[in-house]
Amino acid sequence: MEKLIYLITGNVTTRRSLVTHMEIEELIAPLEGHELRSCHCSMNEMMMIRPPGVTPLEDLAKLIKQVKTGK
Amino acid sequence: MVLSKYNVFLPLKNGGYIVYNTFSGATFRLDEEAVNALRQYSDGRTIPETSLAKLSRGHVIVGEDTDETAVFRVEHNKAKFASSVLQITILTTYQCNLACSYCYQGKGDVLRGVMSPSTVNKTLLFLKNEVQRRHCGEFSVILYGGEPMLNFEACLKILDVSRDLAKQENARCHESVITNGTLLTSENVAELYKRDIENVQITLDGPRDEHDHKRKYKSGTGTYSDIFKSLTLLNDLGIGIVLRMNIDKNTSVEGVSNLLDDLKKINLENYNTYFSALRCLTGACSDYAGMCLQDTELNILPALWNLCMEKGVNVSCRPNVLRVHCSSQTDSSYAVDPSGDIYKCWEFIGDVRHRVGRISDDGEMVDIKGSYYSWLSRDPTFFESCRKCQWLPSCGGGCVSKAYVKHKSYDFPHCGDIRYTMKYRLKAYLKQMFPNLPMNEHEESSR
Repeated sequence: MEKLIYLITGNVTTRRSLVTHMEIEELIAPLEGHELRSCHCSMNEMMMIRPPGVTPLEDLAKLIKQVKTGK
Repeated sequence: MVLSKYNVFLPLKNGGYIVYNTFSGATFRLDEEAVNALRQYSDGRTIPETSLAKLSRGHVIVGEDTDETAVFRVEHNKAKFASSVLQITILTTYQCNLACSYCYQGKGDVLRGVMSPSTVNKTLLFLKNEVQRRHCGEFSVILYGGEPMLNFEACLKILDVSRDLAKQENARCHESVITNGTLLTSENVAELYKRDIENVQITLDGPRDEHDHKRKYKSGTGTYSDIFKSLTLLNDLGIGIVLRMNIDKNTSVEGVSNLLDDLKKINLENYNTYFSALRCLTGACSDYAGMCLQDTELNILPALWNLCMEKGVNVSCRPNVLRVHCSSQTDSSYAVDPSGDIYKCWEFIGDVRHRVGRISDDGEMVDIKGSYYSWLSRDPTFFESCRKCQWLPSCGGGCVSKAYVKHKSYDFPHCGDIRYTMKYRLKAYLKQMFPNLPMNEHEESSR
């Protein structure tokens, strides 16, 4: 996660403090491309929209299959 | 630049806000100074360029001349008419071996057709024609019913031909089965495994007593034990399992907790789950309507998501970011019934008023009905309530079928469960992803 802290110089003619502490932190990036695909409401949307960092279901299934079968 | 109308602000306990943009799904944490700077941006406050770029990419700020409704409309139409992913749902049979209390099949086999070998062939020809015509790099085949395993021969043929087609066209093929789970055996599960089936979706209706009361054989016997045996078979081979958990007015957190404990006892390790409210969309199941939760009555969901997280169950609660409400609203999605008739939505299959065409012997969609064009021309940006709604990019204008049930026309919005549960989903998702975030559970800002 990236955290950005900026020091911003305010306008001295206002009542604001001279230096303002501003925090803007991107927690989750926008969804793009294939992540925006829709599925039918009777299916698990997880198959189509995956949180970042979560192993896609099919990859997870293959991984477990490999571990179990040794293939 | 101005703040997007699709921003949702959630105040944090120690000051500052979470800003979630429903159009992009991007989420930022901003302190009060940053929010003020953004609100006054057009007055000339300085915001660092790198932050501006991220906020702009996340659609949190947009150009002053940007018509966000127009942006959504363009993206909506691209998703609707320019998708490179084909999705075809094939009902290998209308028949079912169960008589669930909320399903039309429980009312005495209202629909009974089985897909014949010749219809399987023309359906597969239709699939091939569509994949080639659209130059699909990816397509998905979903086997559905009735109970698709009652016509297992057709299932295997469809899976085999689809896989061969994917190789031939150098495309990626996703194959899945939606089954009640009562007919799975070591033999037929091995056949699915050999074909590298991507996942199997099975429904549970709650803990044992509740499930057996609703999801039962025609003899009246419950199916809980048999489904658990099937889950074990799938689990042993590492086949992906999706558990749909139906909820209604009987659902309790304690009951679902018992169900999750039962799943743990059989060492189920490779599954995802989601909760879905039971709906009565056909006349045959209307006598169950009194037990269904309305869209505005889904307050139990956050507790169920939290329960899953506490028990380490993989549950998805990330808020939707949708350009169309569901795949049925794209021109690249079809549902084919056992006779070869084509529908847009699974919910209406068998109701000929909603049939949009049929498959000819040479695998083309013919006899195209007016309903096809009515369905596909629905555009939520034409609805005033959708244009004004900050959640439009999360729901895509709602379910067409539910809009039809209520208004007898596709051309209406439907404010459904997505609209009413989205802020709960957002909070649950943030809790899942950032457990230490000081969320204010009871407050939402409308700024």
